This record gives sequence, C-alpha cells and structure tokens, in this order.
Amino acid sequence: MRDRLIIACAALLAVSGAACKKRERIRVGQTEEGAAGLASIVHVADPRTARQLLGGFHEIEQNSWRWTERAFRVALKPPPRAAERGAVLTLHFSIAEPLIQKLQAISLTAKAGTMVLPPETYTQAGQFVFTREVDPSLLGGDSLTVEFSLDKFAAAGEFDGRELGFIVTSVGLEPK
Amino acid sequence: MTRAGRLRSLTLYLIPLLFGAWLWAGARDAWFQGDDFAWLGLRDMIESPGDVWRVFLTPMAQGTVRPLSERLYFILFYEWFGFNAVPYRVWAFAVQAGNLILVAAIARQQTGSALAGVLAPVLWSLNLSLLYLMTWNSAYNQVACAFFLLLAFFLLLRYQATGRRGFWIGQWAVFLLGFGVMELQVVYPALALGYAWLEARSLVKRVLPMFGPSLLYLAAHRLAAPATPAPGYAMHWDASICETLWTYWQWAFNTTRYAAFMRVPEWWGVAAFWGLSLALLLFLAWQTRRRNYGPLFGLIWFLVTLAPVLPLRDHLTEYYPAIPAIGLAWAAASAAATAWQAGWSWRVAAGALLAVYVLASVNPLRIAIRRNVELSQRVKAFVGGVTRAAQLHPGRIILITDLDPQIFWLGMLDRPFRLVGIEHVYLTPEAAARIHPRPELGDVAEFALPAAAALAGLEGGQAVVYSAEEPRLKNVTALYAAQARSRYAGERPRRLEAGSPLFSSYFLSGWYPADSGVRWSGKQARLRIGGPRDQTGQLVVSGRRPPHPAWIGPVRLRVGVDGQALPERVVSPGDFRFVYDLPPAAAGRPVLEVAVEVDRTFTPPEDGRPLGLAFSAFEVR
Repeated sequence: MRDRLIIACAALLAVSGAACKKRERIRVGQTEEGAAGLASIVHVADPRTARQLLGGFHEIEQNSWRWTERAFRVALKPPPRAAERGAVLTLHFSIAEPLIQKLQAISLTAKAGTMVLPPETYTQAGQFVFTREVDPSLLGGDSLTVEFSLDKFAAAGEFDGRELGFIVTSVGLEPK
Repeated sequence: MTRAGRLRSLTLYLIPLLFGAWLWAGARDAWFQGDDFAWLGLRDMIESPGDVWRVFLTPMAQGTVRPLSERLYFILFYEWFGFNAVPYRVWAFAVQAGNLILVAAIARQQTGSALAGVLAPVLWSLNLSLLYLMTWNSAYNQVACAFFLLLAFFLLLRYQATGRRGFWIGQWAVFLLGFGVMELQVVYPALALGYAWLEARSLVKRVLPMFGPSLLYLAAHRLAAPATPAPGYAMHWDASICETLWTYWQWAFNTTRYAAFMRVPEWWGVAAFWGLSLALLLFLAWQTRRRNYGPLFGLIWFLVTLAPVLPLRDHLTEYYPAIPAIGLAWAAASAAATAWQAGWSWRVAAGALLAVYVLASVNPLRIAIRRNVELSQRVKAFVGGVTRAAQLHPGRIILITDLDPQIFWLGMLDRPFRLVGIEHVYLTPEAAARIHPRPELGDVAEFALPAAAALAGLEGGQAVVYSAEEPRLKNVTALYAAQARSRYAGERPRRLEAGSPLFSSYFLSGWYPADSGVRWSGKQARLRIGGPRDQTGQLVVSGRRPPHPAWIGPVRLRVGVDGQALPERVVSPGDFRFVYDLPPAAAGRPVLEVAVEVDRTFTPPEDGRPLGLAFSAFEVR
C-alpha cells in the first residue's frame, strides 16, 4: 500500500504541471523613442549628454567645464521648428590668461554640418559667448554635427601633457 | 498501518517538500535564457509529420539525443504555453518534488530511520549545484534524469524487499525509458550492481543483463555523436580526472563557495569543508567496517553518477554534481540519524556539522537564485524591447549598442528573435568590441555589423539603433548616427555583401536590387570598395550562375579595377569564386572602382529582366 502511495505521489506530481493554457507570445516591452538622449543644449559636465561630445574634449574639471583640444566636435538636436526658422549656435567658453599671453590671438571657426560659419578672433582672456545663425536647410535631420576648430592652441607639453584650446562650459542650438 | 501512522508518514514526506518549496520559491520567476531559445526553436522546425523523427532523434548540442527531457519538453510546452515560462517551471518543480519524495523514500528504506528520510531530501535541496536545475529550463534534463534514476532504483529496492515481479519489470521499463532523458542513464546498471554487490548479492546476476542496453546505447551514441567534440568537451583520460573529482567533491559541500557570496574569510569555507568532508568519510569507514553498507552506497552513487563528466577537464559545470550529491545527502542523513541514536554528545556534534552546512547553503542559495532570476528577467526585458523596436520599425535593421556582454551571451547568441520572425538584429561595432570572445559558446563577429555597413544603413535610413544600457531600450539612432559619422566617415568596407541592402550605396550602376542573399548584375555594372592595404592585395569575387535549361553555354566574366582589366574568367553553372591579384597601383588607394561585365545576359521568361550573374560578395584582402 505504502509503495503504491509513493509511486502514485511521485507520478502525480510529475504530471501535474501539464494543465493546458493558451500559448503566450513574447511579451513586447516598452522602448524610449524619439530622439531620446539627444539634447539641443549640451552642458559639457553633464554625464547624461556626454555622448554628444564626439571628440576633442578632455575630462570634466571642477564638475563644470572641460578643456578642449585644437578641434572639437559635438552632436546637437535641432530645436523644435528649426527646419523652418533656423537656429542659433551658441558656445559658452573661457580663454585662460596664460594661453592668450602666449598666443596673442586665437580664431575660432565653426562648421555646422557642411556649412562653414564666419570665424571670430579673440585677443583677451575671459568668458565669451560665440553665437552664429544656422541655416534652416541644415536642421532638417535628427541631429546636427558641429565641428569647432582653433587656429592656435597649446601643444601637448607646453602647459601640461595635453593639447589645450578653450575652456568650454556649454554648447547648443537655441531656437530663433 | 493505522490512520495515525499514515498521517505521520505523510507528514514526514511533506516536510522536505515544504522546505524545498520555501527554499526555491524565488525560482518560479525565472524566464528563458541561453540555450533555452535554441530549444524553443525546435517547434518551428516541425513543418510536416516527417520532420518529427528528425527533430526528435537528430543529435544536437554536443551530439546529445534527449527526446523526452529536451525535445518533447520544449516542443510541447512551447506549443501550449509559448513564452510563458511559469508552466515550464511548474513542471520542473513538480518533477523535482517527485525526486524529493523518492530521495526520502529510499533513505527511509535504506536506514529504517524517519529522521534520515526527512534529512536526505532537505540536505540535497540545499545543495548549490541545484541552482541551475531550478532556475534554468535547459537544465530540466538533469531534474528528469534524477527522477528516472531514482525511480528505477526505488523499484529495485522494492523488488528486493517484496520479491514482487511488477517492481522488477517497472525498474526495467523506467531504466529503458531513461535513455530518452539523458545519456547519464547508462550508469544505472553500475548503480544497481553496486547496490546488489553490497546489500543483495542474490540480485547480482539479475542486474548484469542491464549492462546490455547501456553498452548498446553507448555504441549508438558514439556512432551518432560528432567525431570532433565542441570546444571544451574534449575528454582527457589522465590525472586531471582526479583534479576534476576533487573540485566536484569540494563543490558538493557548498562551503568553499560560501565566501563568494557572503563576507567571510575564505579560510572559513575551507575549514568547514574539511570538517564536513572528514566527518562524512570517517562515518563511511566506520559503518563499512561494521558491515553497514548503506552509507557506502551513497559514496558509490556519487562516484558513479559523476564518472561520465570527470574526463571533461575543461568543462567544469556547476550543475554536474547535482545528481551525484544525492548520494552524499543519503550518507550524511544516515550519519545524522546514527548520531541521534548514539547519545547527546554525538547529537550535538552532528547538529553542529549540519548547522555549518545549512548556514553555508541557505543564504548563498537565495542570493544565487535571485541573481539568476534577475538575469533572466533582464533577458526578458531585452528580448521584449527588441521585439517592440522591430514592431515600430518594420523592415529595418535593429542595431544594438551598450549591451551588457552577459545579456549578449544569454539573450542574443541563441537568436531568440527568429522565434518571432525578427531576422536582422545586430550589434554595433562598439558593442561587439566590448564582448570578450568565448569561442566555446559562439562567434560574436556573426552578430556584429561592420562599421561601414552600419554607417551606410544609418545614412540610408535602413537601420535604427537602440541603447541597451537600461532595461528599457532607448532609441539613440540620431545620436549614434552622429557618432558613427564622426568615427567612421571615409571608412570604406573591404567586403561588400552583395545581397544585403545595407551595402546598396556601394553598388553604383547596372545592378538590380538585392534579393535572397544575392544581387544580380545587368550586362555591365560598377561598384566601389575599400582599397588594399599593401601591394599584395587581391580581389575575391563570388556568386552564382543558377542552372537554367534555357541558359546554355559559357558566360565570360570581365572584371576591371580603376579602368585596368583583370584576366577574363569563364563562369559555369553553379557557385563561382574568382581570386584576382590587384594591380600594384591599387595599393594605398582608399577606394577602388570595380567594373564587371558579362559577354551575354540571360532573360528568364518568368522574370523578364536581362540578367548577368548573381553576385554574393566582393572582397578586397
């Protein structure tokens, strides 16, 4: 009797899971869509937008700014309706006193997509805002890559081991 | 048996079942991972009744044939429940409950002790090697194999105790059916012989014929299994067997792995292992000297069921000691029961040793269960997210970036997406580069899209990119496209998959759209491809001239590179692959323009287009 009970229990438990249910398809998850993760204005110390800094930026310093190299690139999301109205490219930066003393004058050029924007030359140390209008024809996509370049800079080893240009705090495309 | 006696007996079986249910409760939420997706795909391989035998009996996964525990299990459950993992787990738990009952019943039968009957399944449940059995569907074969081995052995014990023929026949039936569960079943005759030799000599002759089916199975398996084993599965018949045995012996006591989970010094686990191990071995020696061979059979069970995996030096696997550990659980339970009857000092000593084992097991097990379940849930979120992405972007290639390598191995390698009809899911070059190669598992390169192709796909709007950094996938196409332009602009692929729409921008003129893995040329066609690195560069052109009754006679293929003609080739029906030495002037050029021309085209009546040749790939090397 006990043997039968044991065998029956084991067998019953072994088959008890076979109750049929409706075949379930894969459970579709949620995704974040749109130009997720892409910002129009990039604060260079914000880790959430760090990926938009495509190249030419050094590590974050003082939790607020980064040194650049001679050339630096950033991807920006065009602001709403920029494809119709255009936008304003804005770069907030500083020039260090020792750098300008050594180089005397530094010209900054920006290339938005395929269009080179008018350059500007700086001869003093201090904080500056570089602004240029961007043509609506460049702003039809999900992102715009902007490349900045300096005509003069401190080569690696002149101040420290890095190639140094401007001290940038933010860069962005603002609506017009 | 009186009613009170039956109630007591039932309670003694319920205790280990309830304990197991409490211990393993967290495992019910485990989803699919790794090999599960390959097995789930079996159902879709059956398109006609003729496919059934092929799917059930073709050797797969290192040449194994497990029709009951893998093929039938996954095919039926996928048919009934699809991607709902709960019924798969419920079934595995139910069979494991059967195992616990059998472990308890055998322990009681062997020792005559109710305490041993309770302790043996409890101690086995606590073994860390059961982790994958309870949290991973692909390890169900181990659960089922344990069931068939235990049931056959239990029937042998009942036959020996009662002499009833039905038990003997039942044992044979279970033994033979067990070959459909796992190849480990071949060791059952050795277990039966070991038991008969130690405790029932009259059965020795009756047990010997069981070696016949095992030998036949081994011979058939040797014929069917691949001659070259998969990496890591090579057998080493040398001293490494002892090292492997030693490793599994340590694992079976849990304690040496305790430090990996809990903040305790490693020496604690080692000392606990030596204490438990020596105590058990001394008990076995003492009982054997007293001619009580029950505990010794536990050791034999451990060694015999472990023996087939001992030569796998390079494939130490956490769940391999799961079935062998049953033998140690019997021996330890017997020791505890003996100590209980030997007075308070022995009770305290045995209790202390049991407490060490329990302490070393409960928390690590619960942590490990939680980790495994969470991992499977991350796989679930990833697969569900990709499915959603494919719904949102039908016909486009899904590129995945920021993928945790662990999720790649568990949630992408076995191509879960094909189960829902999603074909083109790839890793970005950066995501692929983050994954450390594990050739024994698979080739990451098969899942990575070359940089130039990824960029081409993005520029052409044929691909979307999702970041898998968080459980919820994030569409980062715009950002990634900007990054890719910055990183890969100017990079030209040196291999063009002609049949992939991603490379369309490199095929300039004279081509028809990519179709079924090839791209047909017209009479003349041109393409652009990355140039060679040095002067020894070669151009490899491959494709197919499909046989067709109306397409008779040779076709001559002329290839030119940057205006310079290469030797003419004659193309016969079937596949072709021509290797051309590139002109020295091509060295160092970033891009080459390649022209192909056939001397005559062919217009199939059913198609109507004048076709040249079907090209599959162009490669500069």
